[in-house]
Amino acid sequence: MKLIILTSTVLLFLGVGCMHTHNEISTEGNTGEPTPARITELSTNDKKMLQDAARTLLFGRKITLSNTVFSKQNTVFVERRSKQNEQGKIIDGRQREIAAIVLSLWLENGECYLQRNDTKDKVKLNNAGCQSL
Amino acid sequence: MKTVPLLASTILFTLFISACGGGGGSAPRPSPVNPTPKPPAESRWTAGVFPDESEFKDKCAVVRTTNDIDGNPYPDTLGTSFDEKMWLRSWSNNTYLWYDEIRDRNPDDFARTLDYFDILVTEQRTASGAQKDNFHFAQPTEEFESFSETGSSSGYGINWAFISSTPPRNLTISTIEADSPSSEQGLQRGDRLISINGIDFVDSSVDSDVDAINAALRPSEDAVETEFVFERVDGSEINVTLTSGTFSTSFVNNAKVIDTNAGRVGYVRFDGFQRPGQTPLINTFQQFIDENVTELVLDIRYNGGGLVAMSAQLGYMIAGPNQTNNRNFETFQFNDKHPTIDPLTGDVIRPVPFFDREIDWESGRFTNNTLPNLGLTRVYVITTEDTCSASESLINGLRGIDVEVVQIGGTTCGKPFGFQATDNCGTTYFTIQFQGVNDKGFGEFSDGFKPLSNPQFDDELPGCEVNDDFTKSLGDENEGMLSAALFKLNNGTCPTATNATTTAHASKKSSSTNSKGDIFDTRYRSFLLENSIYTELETLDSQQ
Repeated sequence: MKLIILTSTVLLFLGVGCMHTHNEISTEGNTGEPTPARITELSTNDKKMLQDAARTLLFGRKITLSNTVFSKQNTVFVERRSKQNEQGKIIDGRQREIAAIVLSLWLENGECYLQRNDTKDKVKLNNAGCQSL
Repeated sequence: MKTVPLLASTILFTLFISACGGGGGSAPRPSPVNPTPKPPAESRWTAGVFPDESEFKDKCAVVRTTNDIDGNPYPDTLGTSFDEKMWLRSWSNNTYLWYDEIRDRNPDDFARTLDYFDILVTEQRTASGAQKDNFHFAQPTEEFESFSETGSSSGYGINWAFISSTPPRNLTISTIEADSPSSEQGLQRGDRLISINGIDFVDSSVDSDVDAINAALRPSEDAVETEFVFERVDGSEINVTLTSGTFSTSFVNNAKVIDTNAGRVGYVRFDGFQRPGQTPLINTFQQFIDENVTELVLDIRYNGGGLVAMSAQLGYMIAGPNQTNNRNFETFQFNDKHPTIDPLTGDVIRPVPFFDREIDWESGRFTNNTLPNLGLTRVYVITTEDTCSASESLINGLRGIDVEVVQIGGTTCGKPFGFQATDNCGTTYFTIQFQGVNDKGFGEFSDGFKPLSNPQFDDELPGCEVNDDFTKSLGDENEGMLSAALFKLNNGTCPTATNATTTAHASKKSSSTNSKGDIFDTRYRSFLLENSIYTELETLDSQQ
């Protein structure tokens, strides 16, 4: 399992993909099982931290999360923002794809982290108000 | 670690979804490494001769050095804007649904790539006189690849109805997001905007005021405070200060069971075929079954579409197994160059059946949970011009298996088409590539489905034409559209004077004239409610 530690919100990349050198921590051997987490009162800083972490997991793509993300469940679907007309109406055609990118929030050994489920990449969230779900 | 257990899946379904790209979905994945150099492409345009599009793909005037969403470099190689235009030409000739209606014009006559893309489109019109292709557009790939939480929208948590965009303007609240400050401060459907930050919204034609209105309605970031004054339905005014943010949408709303002389009627408002809507939709149908519902009013007046798979699920939950077994919900038809093979995926074209099981959206597979179903032979749908795409697929799919669809409201938007977003050289292009048809092979409803008392054609449905009623809450049995549906259900006829107490939703479209102060004036193309800023592509192209 890959874990990318965010130190001072800076994540290092080397070439293609996520860096997995000395910053990588394997959860194998840890006694604590990861448990689903939530953030009941999302502060502005928490939201920014989550969006920064998500952006890292999406290789720098901009992402917007809601003010209540992870307040009731530990997973969230994220997808490309649909093109809209001047009135805010979506002008894309039918969506044929099924699977979506899922981000999930976890607590493990007292630490909170955000995971991109399809790649298993994770980013640690320092001082986020995570609680066990 | 998997947060959602992978339950037994259906191989066929997996194959189906693996074959699917996505209109509005992902652009094709580029190769993880820079491809080998391509052979020289045609350097001149010859009318009627279309080299294979692969000769020009990824040959760019400006090569991107960034990586895609999977961390792989984009496959760009150095080329010219002529290469980019020639790729558009060959790609359109290969995949555009009406490729034989494109006038073949010399790319060299167009300085900008996007100007050339704009003319790679049919010039024909529908029976009503509308443009045949209203869905031809492009956007910077960087913008296309920005993400958001599914079902969230940025702004104040207000969904607006544009009744008039020119002075005297009328912008009225149609719905409010539940967890937004707009809800907390008591704003309601039907509240009409009077002023923003002290500026007269209704009548001001001063350019600086219009700019300020647009900026205030479209906050570019969270935590922007804006003062609003609304006029309520009863004529009183309400002053609120709202803080911008990003708010999640509830897709399944106002579900209830209504006792009528004709039996127990289930009513539910469904606002989008989006993944978070699956569970509440299933729960609602189970509730209807538990409460012995025998008729259904499905309110999709604000449902702009989304996932075809979910539309196929809803079709099953309405019609049940006896009517849907071995029947097709929708089949995607491409142009006549591709009668059997999907040119976007390379797979054999397979119809979309009525899906009878829950979908695990993360893995893209069925779960073991069979969907509840009402087994109805008739459904009442409430529609407006905002009822679009996958919502129209539902109507068409049910009619394809002879479920009677009674339409209450206004003509739908008319989008039987789809496309796969395709990136080339930093721009993502959308051109119509397929049309959805039902089990009877019908899919020609470009002018929308229309409710009529005596329908004559396949795009006309039995029903009642009724305007949206902003004077009542949605789900209120006295609300104009729901009231008309219940009247029709109980009496078999449309109520008289259905428009007497309603606001004309049909008048929402603004005048095409750009009179001073029109907030949709092309000067203000960046105006968007609730969502991301519309970035004009001129900026991108001019950089090339």
